[in-house]
Amino acid sequence: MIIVESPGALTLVQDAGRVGFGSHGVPPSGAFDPWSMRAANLVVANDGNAAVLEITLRGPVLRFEHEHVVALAGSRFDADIEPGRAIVMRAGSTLRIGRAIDGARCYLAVRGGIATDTILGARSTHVTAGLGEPLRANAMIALGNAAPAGLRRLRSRPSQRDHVRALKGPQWRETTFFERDLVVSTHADRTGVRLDGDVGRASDEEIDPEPASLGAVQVPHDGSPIVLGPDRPITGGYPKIAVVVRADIDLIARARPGDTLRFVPCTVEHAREAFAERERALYASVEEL
Amino acid sequence: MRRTWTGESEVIVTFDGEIEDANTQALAYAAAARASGGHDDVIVGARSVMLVFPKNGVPRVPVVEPARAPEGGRLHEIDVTYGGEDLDDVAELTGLSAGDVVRAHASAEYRVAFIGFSPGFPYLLGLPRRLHVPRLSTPRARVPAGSVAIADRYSGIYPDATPGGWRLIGRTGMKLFDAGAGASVQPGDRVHFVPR
Repeated sequence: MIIVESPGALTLVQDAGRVGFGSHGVPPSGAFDPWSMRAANLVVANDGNAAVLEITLRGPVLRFEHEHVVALAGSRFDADIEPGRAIVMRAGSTLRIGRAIDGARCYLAVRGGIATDTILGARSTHVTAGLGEPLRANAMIALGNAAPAGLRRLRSRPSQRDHVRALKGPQWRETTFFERDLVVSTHADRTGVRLDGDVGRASDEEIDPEPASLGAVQVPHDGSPIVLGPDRPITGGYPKIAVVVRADIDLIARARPGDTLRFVPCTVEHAREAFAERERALYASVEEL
Repeated sequence: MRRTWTGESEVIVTFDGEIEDANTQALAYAAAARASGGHDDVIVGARSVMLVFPKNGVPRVPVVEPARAPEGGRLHEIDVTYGGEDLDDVAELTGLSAGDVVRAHASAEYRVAFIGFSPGFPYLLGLPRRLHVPRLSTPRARVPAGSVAIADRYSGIYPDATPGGWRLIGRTGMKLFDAGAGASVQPGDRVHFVPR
């Protein structure tokens, strides 16, 4: 068990998300930055998609009832432990994760995985839909069992990337979306990340509502694009001019208000290659301590 | 029928024509796609279907012959207490009396075109043309759960208290979404509103 002494600003149980409930109006949810979730899990010898804690802007204080192996990955936070390596938390010890130093989100994996009840087949939390709730003070979080394993670390931090690659979307029109600096607005959460700046209206008409995928960039009438997140409404009626590739979705998840993003066009084929390459690099970077 | 990638592992299939026909084709396509298997999810929109392929593996656009429209679907008789916040405004916009608005709304048969906006929220086609009214210019911050509403060509029901811009004409106690079981109505189902 983990005992929550203080929950932080917004700490959520997330896994790889809810699959197959789109026609119930339920989006997948899941870790906004699946790369960091997987990195943290691999370091503690979990399945990459085991449930973790997604920590936003200000982290929790957690007490470990028994000895557990943990790891942090993602945005840099002011924390008791070094990110990117497995750390043994002794029985009765406390882990403090403070404020984000850069970026918005980091992930805490615990060997054995978070073992809260599944809802519609997943442990992912979707607060506004009533599917789970954020961590609360004094809550107890169940953990799974795990076979003994060695301690691991990530050999290197992922290289810094300047650009966010995106496919042209189903309602692509000539706009000024690509190849310019766009600033993340204060409207940035798991539903979507709104960018300041008018990229030009994609079209005068709304479209008949159609399903929207993770990372879809929709442009409402005011011309300010919104990158849809894991808790997006499953259908939307605004034109979608682009879709952020999965290899770069972590750049959206980690962005915080005031950050600058620059998008560059990408093809479906290159997006798949980038995904496979990043996956290879992730597994290759895990080594025994 | 147009197909386009909308992600590395998502394809959106769009049907042209009148919305009722296009939605019928979308429902039929979705049923055929589910029967063919190989997808993580098959999600219906107003005139579209999104096929979601597994993340690992090479996505293929399936050869799915649009089948005949699925017959019928379940019929839901939904009790409504008419008299929502916007009923008088709808009467004024349509030039009908409030009673005529209620009679027109309750006498139509609706089809669940798709579920969207929030978990369990049904978009219902079949709203009589004289009840087509625009959305509120400023959405409400909070619409009460169970509100029966209309906007443009659709009627709908808010499963939970959420922000919303549709015009509210009644209230139902029916539970439209359950965290254990999902949505209680499905695309292709039919709906009758029963005044009480």
